Order: sequence, then structure tokens, then C-alpha cells
Amino acid sequence: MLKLLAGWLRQELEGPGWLRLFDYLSVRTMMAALTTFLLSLLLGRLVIRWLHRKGFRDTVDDYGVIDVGNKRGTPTMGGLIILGASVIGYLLWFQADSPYAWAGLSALLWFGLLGFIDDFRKVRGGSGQAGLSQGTKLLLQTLFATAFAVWVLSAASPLPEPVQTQLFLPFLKEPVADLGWFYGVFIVFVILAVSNSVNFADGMDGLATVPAAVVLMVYAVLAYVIGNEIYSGYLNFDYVAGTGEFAVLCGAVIGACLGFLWYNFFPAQVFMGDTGSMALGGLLAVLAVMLKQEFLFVIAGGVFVVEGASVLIQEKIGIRLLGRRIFFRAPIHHSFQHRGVAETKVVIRFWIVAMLLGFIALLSLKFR
Amino acid sequence: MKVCLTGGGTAGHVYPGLAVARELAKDPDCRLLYIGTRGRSEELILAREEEVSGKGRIPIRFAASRGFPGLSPLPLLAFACVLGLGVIQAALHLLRFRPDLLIACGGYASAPAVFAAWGLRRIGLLRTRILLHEQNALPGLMNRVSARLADVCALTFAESARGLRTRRCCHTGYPVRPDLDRLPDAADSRKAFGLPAEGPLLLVFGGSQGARSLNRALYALLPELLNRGVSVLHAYGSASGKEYHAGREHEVALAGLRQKLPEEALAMYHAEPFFFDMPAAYAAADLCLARAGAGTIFELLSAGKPAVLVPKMGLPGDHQVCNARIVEEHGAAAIVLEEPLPSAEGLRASLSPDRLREALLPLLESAGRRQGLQEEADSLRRAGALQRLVSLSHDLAARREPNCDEPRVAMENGPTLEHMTCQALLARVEKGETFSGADRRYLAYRCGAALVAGHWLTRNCGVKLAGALGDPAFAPLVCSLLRQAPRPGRLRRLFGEKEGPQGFVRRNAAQSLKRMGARDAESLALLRELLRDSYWEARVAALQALTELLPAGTELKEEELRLLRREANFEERVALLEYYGKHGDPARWRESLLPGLEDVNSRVREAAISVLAGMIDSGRLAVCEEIRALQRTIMLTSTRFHPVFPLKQRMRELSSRLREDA
Repeated sequence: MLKLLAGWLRQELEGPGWLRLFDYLSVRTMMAALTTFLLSLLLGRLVIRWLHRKGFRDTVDDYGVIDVGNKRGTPTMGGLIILGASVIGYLLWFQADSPYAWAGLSALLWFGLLGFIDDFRKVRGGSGQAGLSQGTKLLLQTLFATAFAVWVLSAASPLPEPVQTQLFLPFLKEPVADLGWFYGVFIVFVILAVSNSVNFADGMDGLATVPAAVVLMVYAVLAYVIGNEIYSGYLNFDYVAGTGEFAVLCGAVIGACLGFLWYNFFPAQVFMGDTGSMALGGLLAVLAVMLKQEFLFVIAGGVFVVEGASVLIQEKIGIRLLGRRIFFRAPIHHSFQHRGVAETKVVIRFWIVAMLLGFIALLSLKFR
Repeated sequence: MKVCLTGGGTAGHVYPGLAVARELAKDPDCRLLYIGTRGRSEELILAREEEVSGKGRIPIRFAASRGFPGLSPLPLLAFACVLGLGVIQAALHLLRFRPDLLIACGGYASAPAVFAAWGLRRIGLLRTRILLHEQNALPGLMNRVSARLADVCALTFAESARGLRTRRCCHTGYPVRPDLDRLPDAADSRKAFGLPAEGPLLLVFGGSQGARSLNRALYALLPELLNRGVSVLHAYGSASGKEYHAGREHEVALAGLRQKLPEEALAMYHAEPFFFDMPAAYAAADLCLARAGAGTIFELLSAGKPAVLVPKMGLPGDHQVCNARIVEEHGAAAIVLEEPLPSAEGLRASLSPDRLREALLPLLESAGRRQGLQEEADSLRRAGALQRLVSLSHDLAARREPNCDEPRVAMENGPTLEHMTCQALLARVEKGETFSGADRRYLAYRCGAALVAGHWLTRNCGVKLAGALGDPAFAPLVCSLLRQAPRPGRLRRLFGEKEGPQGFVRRNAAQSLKRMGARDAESLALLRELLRDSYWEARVAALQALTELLPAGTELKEEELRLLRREANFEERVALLEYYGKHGDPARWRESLLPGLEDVNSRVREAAISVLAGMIDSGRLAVCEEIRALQRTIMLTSTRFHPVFPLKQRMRELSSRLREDA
């Protein structure tokens, strides 16, 4: 919005020269992050009070049995803060004619809405069982994923022709394979896997927020490099015009995540709920696919991958097949807590690991 | 008048409809059609059924359907597809036949036709009225759904009106075959079966397939019955499956009896696979021993025969138990419940001969008691059910306001215990709810039923329920459940599962034995075996149970604890410390406690400290300088903590005050 305004002022009214700052990606990214951070601080208070008033609490109905030692009764659906702040902030700083901007926004909103419905039903139904069923969630996610895959592989796709269906691996210069139409199936799988793994990680105060911001940071750098003709040539990436817009989006969401963390770290005043974790997961999945860095998520988002895998192994192999536990508890962060590591400690250790994995992921820029 | 019949899946849902059809077919203007599921009992029964009206058998059309599979997504999807297809098929049959009335007798086979008829009427393509007949005391799932769509719901038991949401209920009763009203002469019938004319006669039958538990209990009891001068007429059934072959077992049992009993006693026993002439069998009998299906119960009531009912265990919705409980409440029959008993094939639902004897002998010996049951039976029987259903059908088909008695029972909200799954029952018990004596007995019965269920998750739930009920009487059952141990498949062995039932079942068995305080030798021996289980949680639970259950000062052998010590994750180390605190040799505290006090895991250190304190408190360990000195060296830092939120404390005080005022 501001970019359009600045462009119009400069062209039509011959506004001052510094207005061209609004055209620079780096400026827009940083400004978007700062804006969304402030917005989410402001929104945070309002949303938390509103959630309390509406009774959108994490299932407690009888206050006679309040456990003074735990966080039950904390409002969930704090993802609304992330969503609201990043969407408003990004709309201020985005480039309105970029297909990348709209792809990212639609993922954020679709998955956010899905999570919101799920949270809403859980809170209204009074238990975790009352939310959308696993099947319904998967169906609605697949719906988006399929539409997205069709768009990416169609003629309307912003990705250039040969790159569209090629599969890239981190640390390798050349594409390993051209998957053809099968790439669409792969896209659906990636979106389902990534968006759900973030959901599993959201089980402790701040646990999902920082690793998500780290992955967004990594993808922001990649988006900037791939969308820049000189850097992409220097680092041997296939240049794709316009992906830099993703950097602005990433910046906006990172800012919103940090603002949300203000309220969300231990002891949390608000949980992000499925609203937040699904929205972040959906966005990360779209980024991974459109930047052709699906496998980089396994490294950059290693925390999410391990969390998701631990749940799958425990549920499918352990409980379903063997009828016994494989980990003490799943997702894996509860296993650490069970062993006597404090929640805060688990969370910050996961942050440390996430950051280290972020550095390793960035190594793939040069090590190719 | 055109009438469409539907219902089936099992024979019990076919016969009542057929009885009504036979009566309706006497009217030459009445045309009939049956909609059922292919290959199910309705097809077989209709094929056997000849010439209902002189116009030939009732034509049957098929619509796909299957039983409700529960809530897991894939089977549910398959179920929805099959049912959807069935509804379309049924709709086409209905559109072609254009019936005035649809009589649905329940069972999953009736669902497509009911849904289709209701849908077609909603969109104005048909004017079919729907009459639903519910046989059982507790309506099944399909009937609870169908009842909302039906115009009138005809009930066998007035009690079924509880929790049934429908437009109109009619208490009609069960339409039994008319030939039961006029039984042949008792003496002639006895002669025809070759049985003595004097003395009480017991008729035993378990349906056309036969009932394994009924037969086995009877074989065990036969010598005693015959010696007491009771004649026995027995239909052992035609089951000839791999698992159970009624005829073969009968031969073996008979051979055993021949060795034990004199010829004249055996002359008082007559057995056949099944009786073609049931009225004659009823006529000969003084007392019947049978299953508790609605059809059987009302046949017995119409024939005026006192009975001992044995409801089958583990049926969907436990409908036989509910039927039997209502009949028992009316005082119209005695019931004996099955219970899980260990047998050569492992733990399975059986009928204990002792319980059967307790129920049978007083009734066989006293004609007065039998008379008592029979008098009460009249209150429940509700004669004239067939006429009532026929006139109801005519009224509905002619669009007249039906004239019928509404059942007078208090409507209850909320599911009854019978409707609840084992998991739901467990949740209610764990909540600390109090139950009446009858409900507690029913819970114990359901716990037994869960222990012999087919799926391991239900068995697992039964094990937990046994613990939650806290009755040591379940201990032998839990033990034999673990002992029957089928060898796990290759895949499971690959993952380190060496024992029989799933790891959770073994762990929960140990926990349940602890909760019920099972101190008998068998339970303790089982727990000791579990110490060497391949699953760590089972080992831990077993050690915790033994810590509590063993008499004080009894030490386990080091050999038994070897696996716990070797694989030692922190849960095992904690359990070992707690065990040591209660049963270990205090003199060896240095070897046993010091490593715990220096453990890397803070939860182990916590346990070691509290064990040390506990041993000092109980006087097992004398405080010495060396122990005092430990205080300075124990690793005290730990990251585990529980926050306290003062705001919530204040809130709790406030809300407890608010609750007192309310």
C-alpha cells in the first residue's frame, strides 16, 4: 500500500526523492517487521482481554478445581494476534501486483481460518475432543494444497518453465530430477507434512514461535537471493524474478511472531492455538514449495520435523502396531519434561537447536 | 394396500416382520415386498418361507448395508459409501413398488429403506408411512436413528421408550408365532421324545446354532440333574465351525456320560441338533434354559413356560442383558449371567455350572416357584401383539390416526450404562461416581465382558476397569488374560515384543493388580514374571505393584531384578529405589541409595531423598554421622519446578466461597 502511494506521489506530484526508499526490498522487509512487531504488541493486549471476556479459555469450566500450579485457563487462539498483525502490517508494505504476495497471504489466511474453526469448536465444546476431526482437517488442508499445486504447475504460475517441476536438494547445484506432473503430488505431501508438524510443536510456551521465526528468516534470505539477479548468479541459483516479495512477507510474520512472543513466553498469557500454528505451518509450506527448497525445511525446520516424527512413531508404530510406548511421551518435548527438565529449559534448548539448524541451512547458500 | 417390509442382518430382526406379513397377506388385496441385504438371514429365511398367502413367497429386493463400524475414519467412510449406495437402491425399489406403508424391524438391513422412504417423502415423491418395530429392551443404534424418522415406533418392552426420540410410541408387544397359543398335550409330547411322563423336565436350547457356554455348563451339570430325577430335553445346535463344533462336542460329552451314568438315567436325556417341532418341546417342558433374545423371551412367555435366561456376553449394546434384566425386574424369569472363565482355549465367556445349579435346582424342585414366575410372566407378555401391529398397519396405510397405547415410563435423559462403551464406563468410574448395587454388578459384568472381547483395546480397557473397580475377585481373570499369551507376530517380535498381549495390557494389568490389592499367590507370581518383561513400563508397574503388595521385609531375588537394573531408564531407577525403601536390606543403604543420590536425573535424586527420609521416619535406618554428612554433598540443583500463581489461588478461594453459597 505504502509502496503504491509513494510511487504515485513521486510520479504524479514529483514528491521528494527519499520516497524511492519504499521501492527497496530491504527497507520494506525491515519496516514490515518493525510495524508488525508494534502492531502485535498493541493487538496483543486487546486480543487477550477480548479472549478472556468471550471465555475462549483453554478448557476450564469449574473454578473450584483450579490448579494454582499450572497454566490451564490461559486463553488460546492467540494466533489471531500473529495473523492480524502480520496481515495488516504486510498489506502496508507489500507490492500489490506480486503473485507471490497473494500466494503467501492466502496460505496464511486459509490455514489460519482452519485453525480458528478448530480452536473455536474445542473451546465451545469444552474439550480437546470437540475440535475438527483429524480427517476433516486433513481434507481441508488437502483442498488448499491441491488448488495450490494446480496453480504452481499451470501456465499462470510465476515460476519459469524448466524450474517448475524440477526437484532441488540442498547442497546440490543441479536439480536431481524433473518430476513432471508427479511434482504436484509431491507439493500436496509437502504442504500436509509441514503444516501439521508445526502444529505438533506448539505444546509449550514459545516453543513453536521462535523456531518458526528462524525458518522464516532462512527462507527470507533465500527469497532475497533467488529474486536478485546478481546474488543468484553469484551463488549459482536459478534466478526467479519477484521472489524477493517473500522476504517482505517473512519479515512481516517474523515481526508479528516476536510481538506475540512478548506475551507467549513462559508463563504464557496466551497460547497461539491451532489458529497460529496452522497459519505458520501453511505459510512455511508455501514458501518451501515456491522457493524450490522443500528439503531445506528438514534442516531449517528440524525441530518441527523431529516433533512431528516423534508423534507419528509413537502413535502409529508404538500405540497402534505394538501396543506400547516407544518414547516416554510424545511430542518429544513432553518426553524431556517427563524426565525432569523444566519447561522453560526445554523451550530454550529447542530454540538453541533451531538457531543452529538455521545456520546450517544458510550454509547451503555457499556449500553447493 | 401395498406394504413393504424391511429389517434383518440377524434372524431376530426378520421373524416379527414376517409374522405381521403373514397376517396381512390373508387380505387378498394386500401386496408385499421385502427389502433386505443380500446373503443375510432375511434372504435365507424368505427362501425357506413358503406360500405365505397362497400367492407365493414374498418377493425380496436387495439394498446394500452394513453394521456401524465405530468412529475410526476409514471404516466409517466405507460404511457411508455402502449405506449411500443402499439408500439409492432402496429408493429405486420403493419408487417402483410405491408402498403405502413401510414396516421396519430394525437391524442394519432396515436402514437404507427407512432413510430412502423418509427422504422420498420429504421431497414429495412418495406418501409411504413408516412403522418401526423395536424388539429389544434397549434400541440398537440404527433403530435409535430410524425412530426419529418413523411415524410410529412399536415397542416390545414399554421400557424401550426411555431415551428413544420419536414422534409416537406404541406399546404393542412382540408378535410371536400363533401356534404357541395352543400347545399340544404335555404327556403326548414327552412320549414322542421318549422321555418319562413323571418328574420335572428341563428344556435347553440356545438358538439354531447352539450356545457353546450353555451346552458346556449343561454337560457338566447333567449327571447331577439326571440323578435327581430331572429329565432333560436338549437342542445342542448345528454349529460346525472350526472353533466350535456342537455335534462333535456332544458326542464326546455323551460318551463321557455313558461311563458315569447307568442306562436308566441316560434314558431321561434326549438331545437333537434342533427341534423342528418347537411347540411340542415347549409343551413337554416344565422349565426352560435359553438365551435372552427378544424372540426367545416372548416365545417362552406366550408358551407360559418359566425360564432361566442366559444372556449372551459382548453383543452390541448388550441388548440380551437388558432384555433379561427387564424380565428379571418383572419377576418373570431368573437370569444367570455369563462370566469370563479360563478354559483350554484361553479366557472366554462361559457359564459357570455352579451358578447354573444355584439357579436351576430350586426352580426344578419346587413347582410353586415355577408357578410364581409364570404368574408374573402374564404382566409382561402383552397378548395380542400381532393383532395390535396389524391394526396399526392398516391405520397407518389408510392414513388414519392410529389407535394405540402409549407406554407409561419415565423418560430419562442421558445414556444408560448399557449404551456406553467400556472407555466411557471407565471414565465414569474413575471420576469417583457412586453406583447403585445393581449398577455395580452390571459394571462388574461389563468388565468381565471387556476382558474376553476380541479387540485388544477393549481388553485393555477391561483390565483398567477391573483396577478402577478395585475388586480383588478380578485378579485371577486378569492373570489368566496375560497367561493365555498368543505369540506375537514377526513384525512385533522385530520391535522387541516377545510376550503375548500388547505392552499396554501388561502394564495396566500390573497397575490394576496393585489398585485392587491382589495379594494372592497367583497374582504375585505373575507380577514377578512381569519384572522380566521386555517392555519397560510393564517392568516398572510390576515392581511398583510388588513394592506395595509384598508383605513387609520380603525381598525379591537379585536375579528377578536383573533386567530392571540393566536397562535402567530413569523410571526403572525410581521404581527400584522405592522398592528398596520398603523391602530392601537397610544395612546395604550405601550401595542402594548413594548412586541414586548422585544420579544425573533429578527425578531419581528426588526419589532417593524421599526414600532416605522415609526409611529414617519408619525407623528402618538409624541416623548416623555418615548420613548427616551426605547433606553437604547431595546434588541439589534441579530444573524441575512447579510455578504457583497467586492470582489463581485467590480465584480458587473466591469460587469455592461462591459454590458454598449456591
